Amino acid sequence: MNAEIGGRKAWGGDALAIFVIILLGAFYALWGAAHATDRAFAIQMWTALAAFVAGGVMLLFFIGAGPRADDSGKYANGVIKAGVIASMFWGVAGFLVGVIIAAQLAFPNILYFEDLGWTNFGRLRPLHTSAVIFAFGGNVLIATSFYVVQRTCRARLAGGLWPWFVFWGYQLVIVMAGTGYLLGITQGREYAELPWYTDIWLTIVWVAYLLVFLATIWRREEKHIYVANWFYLAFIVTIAMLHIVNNLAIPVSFASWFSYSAFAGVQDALTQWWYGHNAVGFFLTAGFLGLMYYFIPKQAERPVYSYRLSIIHFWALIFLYIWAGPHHLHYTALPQWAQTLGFTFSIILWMPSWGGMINGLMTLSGAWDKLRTDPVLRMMVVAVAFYGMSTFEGPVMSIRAVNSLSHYTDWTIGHVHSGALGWVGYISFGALYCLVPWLWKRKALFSNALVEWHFWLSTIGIVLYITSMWVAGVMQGLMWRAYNELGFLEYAFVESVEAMNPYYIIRALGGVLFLLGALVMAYNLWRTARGDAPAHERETDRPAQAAPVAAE
Amino acid sequence: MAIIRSRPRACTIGPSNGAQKRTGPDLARVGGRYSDEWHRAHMEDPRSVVPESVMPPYAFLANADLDVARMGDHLRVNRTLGVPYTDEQLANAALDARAQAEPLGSNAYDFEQRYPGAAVRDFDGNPARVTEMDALIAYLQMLGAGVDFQNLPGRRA
Repeated sequence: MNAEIGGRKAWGGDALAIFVIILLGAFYALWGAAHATDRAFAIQMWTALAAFVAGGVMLLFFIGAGPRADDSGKYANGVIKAGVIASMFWGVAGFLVGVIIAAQLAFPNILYFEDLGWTNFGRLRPLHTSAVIFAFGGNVLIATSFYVVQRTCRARLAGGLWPWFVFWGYQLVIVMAGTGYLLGITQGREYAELPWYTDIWLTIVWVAYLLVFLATIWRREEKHIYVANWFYLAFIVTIAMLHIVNNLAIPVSFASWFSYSAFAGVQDALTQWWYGHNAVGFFLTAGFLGLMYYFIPKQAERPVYSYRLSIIHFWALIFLYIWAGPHHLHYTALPQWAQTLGFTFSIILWMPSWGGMINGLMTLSGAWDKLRTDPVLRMMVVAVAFYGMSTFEGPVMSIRAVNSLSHYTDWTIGHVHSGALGWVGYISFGALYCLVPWLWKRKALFSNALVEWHFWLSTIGIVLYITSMWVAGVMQGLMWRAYNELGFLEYAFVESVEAMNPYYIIRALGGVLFLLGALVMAYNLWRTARGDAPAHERETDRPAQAAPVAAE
Repeated sequence: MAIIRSRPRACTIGPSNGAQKRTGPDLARVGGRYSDEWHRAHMEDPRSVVPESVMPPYAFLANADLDVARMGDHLRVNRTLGVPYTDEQLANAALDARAQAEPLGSNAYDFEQRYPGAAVRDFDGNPARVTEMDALIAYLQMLGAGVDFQNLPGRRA
C-alpha cells in the first residue's frame, strides 16, 4: 500500500490512521477512568489506557527507525509468528482455567474462597470459554488466514501496518474481556459477555481484519480464489454481522460498563441463539474448515479429494447454518414453528457436514500410510473424524424429542467439547505444528516423539471427557424426568447434582491430560523455533512475485 | 444494579431462557419458597444448608454496599427500551432502591405507594447497611412471584 520503489516510507497513511485510532482510544480511556461510576470500570479504563500508550510507543519506535527496505516482494511472516505464539499462550491459559473450573465442580469444598468473588465459577467460566474460543481459536484463525491467503493468492499481505493493528487490537480485546470477567463485568450473553465498549473496539479491529483480507485477495497473482479463502471470508463477514446485531444495546452511561440489550424477552433469547449457534457455525466450523482445506492437503502432499465437493460443501454449509439457532430454545416461549424450522435446518446440515468430512478424509487417498509415521497429519485426520462425529451428534440432539432429554444436561457440555477439543483443538494443533517449522525455517519439528506423546495424552483426555459427560448427561436427563407411582418427581434436583460427582472427577482428569498434552506441544514448538531443529528454507518461502509457477 | 425491584426483562418469558445448562436448579419460581435467612446462609456458605451443593459462596456480597447513585440512569435506559417507568419513579429511583431494604426509613411509605405489592424489608439481616446481598435476595424473592395465577389468559374457572 505504501510501497515505493526501493523503500517503504516510515510515515505512511496506515501509520497515521492507526495513530489517530490509538489517540482517540487513549482519550476515551482517560476520560472514562476519570469519570468512572464504579471501580471495575475505572480498572478497565486504566488497563485500556496503558495498552494504548504502549501501542503508541511501539508505533513511534517503528516510525523513528526510518525508511526500510522494500518488502513488497516477500510474504509478511512476522505477524503470523506473533499469532502462533499468542495462540499457544492463550491455548494453555484457556485449558488451565478449564481444568480449574472442572475441578471446582468436582471438589467445591476445596476450590472456593468465600471472600474472593473473582475465583467463583461464574466469573471463571466465561474466562475459560472466551479464552479457548476467542483467544486461542481466534488467534489461530487470524494467523492461519494471514498465512493461507498470502500463499494461495501469491501476494503479500495488504495494508502495511494494518495486519499488526489487527493482531495487537485483538490481543487488547482478549485482555479487556478476561480482566473484565474477573472484576464481575459481563453482559450475561453466552459467548458474547464483552461489555459494550469492548464490543465497539472489537468491531473496529474486525473491520480492519476484513479489509486486510479482502485487499490481499484483491491484489492476488493467482487467478483462482482457493476454497480455503472462501471459508475464511465467510467466517470474517458473518461474525461481523452476528457480533453487531447481537450486541445492540444502550449503555447506562458512557462512564459505566453496564448496558441493556435492545431486545427483550423471547426476541432477545432468539437473537442470542442466532448469534450463539452461528458463532459455532462460522467461527468454530467455517473458519477451521479453512484450515482443513489448506493444511491437510499440504501435510499429506495430496490435492483435495474433490474440489467440486468443497464448493458444494461451502455454499450448502453457509446457507443452512444461519437458520439453526432456534434449536437451542426448544420447550420455551419461542413459537413452535420457529423451533421446528431450527431443528429441520440442523438435520439438513448433516449433508454438507459429512460431505466436508468425507472430502477431508479422502484427501488422504494414496497417503494413508503417512498416518503411521506422521503424528501431525494423524492429529488433523482425527480432527476431521471428530468433526464428523460432533456434526452427527449435534443434529440428533437438536431433534425436539431427543432435546427433551439432553437439554440443560452435561450431554451438551460433552458435545461441545467433542467439537472443541477434538475438531477445533486438533486441527489447530496440526496447523501450528506445520506452521512453526515453516515460519522459523526449520527442516522439521524438534521432536516427533513429543508429538506422539501430545497426541495420545490428549486423545485419552478427550475420550475421558466426552464419555463421562455422556453418562452424566443422560443420567441427569433421566433423573429430572423420573416420576414415582404417585405422580411426584422421583428425585430432588440436588440428588442429580450429587450423582454427578464421579463423572465430574473423571472429566477434570480428562482436562488435565489435555492440558498436559498442550504443555508438551508448547515445549516442542519452543525448541523447534529456538533452533534445535535443522535450518531449512522451503520453495514456497521465496518472494511472492518471483515465485515460479510450479513452486507449490 | 437495577435488580432490587425492576423485573429483569429477560426473566419474563419463563424458565431457563436460553441457558445451555442447569448446573443449579431452575429458579423461575423460587420467589417466596425459602426464607431470607435461608438464602443468606445459602449465599454465604452453600454447603451449610445443602451439603451436596457445588455452588460457589457469595459471602462477599454482604460486604459490598449497593451502589444506587446511577439507579435513575438504569431506569431511564429501560424506559427508552419500553419499560413503562413513570417520571416520578425515575426521579426517585435512588431513594426507592434504598427504601425497599429500609422498612423503617423515611421513604418506605412513598416507595410502597409507587410500587404497590413490592416486598419491603431488610433482606440481608443487617439493617445498618443496604448491600448487594439485600439486592440479590430481594431479586430471588420476586422470581415468579409476580404471576397472577387467578387471572391467567385461557384459564378455566
